Amino acid sequence: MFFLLFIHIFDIDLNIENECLQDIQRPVFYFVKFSRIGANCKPKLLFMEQNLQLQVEPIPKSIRVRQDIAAWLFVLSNAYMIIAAFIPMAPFVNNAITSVICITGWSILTTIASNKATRVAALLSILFSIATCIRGMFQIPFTWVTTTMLIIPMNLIWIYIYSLIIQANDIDNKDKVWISLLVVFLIMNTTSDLNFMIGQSMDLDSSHVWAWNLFLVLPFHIIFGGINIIAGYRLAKCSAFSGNYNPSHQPKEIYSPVNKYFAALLITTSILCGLWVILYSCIDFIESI
Amino acid sequence: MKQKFSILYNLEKKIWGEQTNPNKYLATTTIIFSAVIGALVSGCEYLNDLFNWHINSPTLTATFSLIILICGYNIAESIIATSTAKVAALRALMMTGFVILAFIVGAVASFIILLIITIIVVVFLVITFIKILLNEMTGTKMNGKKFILSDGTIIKKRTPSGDLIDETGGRWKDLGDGHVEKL
Repeated sequence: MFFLLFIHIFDIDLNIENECLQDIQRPVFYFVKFSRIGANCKPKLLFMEQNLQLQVEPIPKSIRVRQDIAAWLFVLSNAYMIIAAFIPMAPFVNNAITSVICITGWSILTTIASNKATRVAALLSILFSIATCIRGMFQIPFTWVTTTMLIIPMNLIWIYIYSLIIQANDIDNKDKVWISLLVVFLIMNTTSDLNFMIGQSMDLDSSHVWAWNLFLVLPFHIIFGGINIIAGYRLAKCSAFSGNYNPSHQPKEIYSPVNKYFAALLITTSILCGLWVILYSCIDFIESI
Repeated sequence: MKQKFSILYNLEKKIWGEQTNPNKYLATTTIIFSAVIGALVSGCEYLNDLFNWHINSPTLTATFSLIILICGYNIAESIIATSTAKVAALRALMMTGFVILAFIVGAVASFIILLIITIIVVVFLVITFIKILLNEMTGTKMNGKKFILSDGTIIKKRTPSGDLIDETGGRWKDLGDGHVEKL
């Protein structure tokens, strides 16, 4: 038994070719069909008229191939990062290999960026992949100066690049979830660097700061590396890199770093650093438990 | 498998619906890690205390530091993936609660499992010891080995002094070189 229920009226850009009609707000009626069959009667949304559905333009094959190549290059680079721990090679060689793969991937994505902001983000990422490659050649000591001047700014620029891509494009929710995960990982990289710095400034032994040991580092490395692989793949395949370059200027607000991604960085960092300072200041009490 | 790794995603979708848009697997993965860390630390501490083993285990401060880091993943995701500040705060609190709960559950479960294993091993050792003691008192069984004399007598046990006992309870003295003598 079915019954129809009117619930919503809201607007959708209908891509109507006639310009006069574009200004008119056309209501779209949604109906809910309740299925009484079975225990799980979930409502299903139905369009009143099938021809009102938004038409998604298919991506041309040449662009799809480029997307695929970039996506698999990112997969290769991230997979190499996972297995690099087991390869007896100098760290700067591993770093150079992953950087070169990433630079190639981003160069391909630059050619199929869908708007100016995305292209800027892709060019920035090429620049900073080169910078990361060069940085890997030198063994940089882990001090307050190098961390605040070199390591954390690099992470901030990567967060800016990803936030710019997300904000400048209307990315599908499924892809957006994975791309914002890349931002989450970068935020956590930054905060864990700060954790080391706090430990160093409080003259703590590294065994009190870092709990990684033989049992734990491998599964963590593999699972989070796996999540990173999926995220990189989704980034290359999202609608931000679907060709159809739109040369028109976008609002300047999207270039602003005052967004929720940087808010997340600020809030998370301050909460975690506060907790770490409290933890390390009562180390004698905790070790006596 | 997919369903198991998205338990918390389904839970928060039930509570907040469209207001949150988090990753399906991150929250559950971090919680599993928290439980594993709890199990590892408590197990190492237990083995250290009981057998004085020096396992390369993380210190308690380092463990709490790691738990704070894992909470950070959820806090950062909460701010990014939710639409309002209130939902973000509530989600972060809920996830932090789950991480701490998983840590405690992991620690307690590992302690209980190790305790049960220890009890089983101790009980097995005690039973084996008693068995050996009883055998020594009454004579050792010829475990699986058949020892038949030329007249057809089957030997069943060997006493600690080296004498042999047959099925009827008769005693034989082992002279060596395959010769026996009735006592």
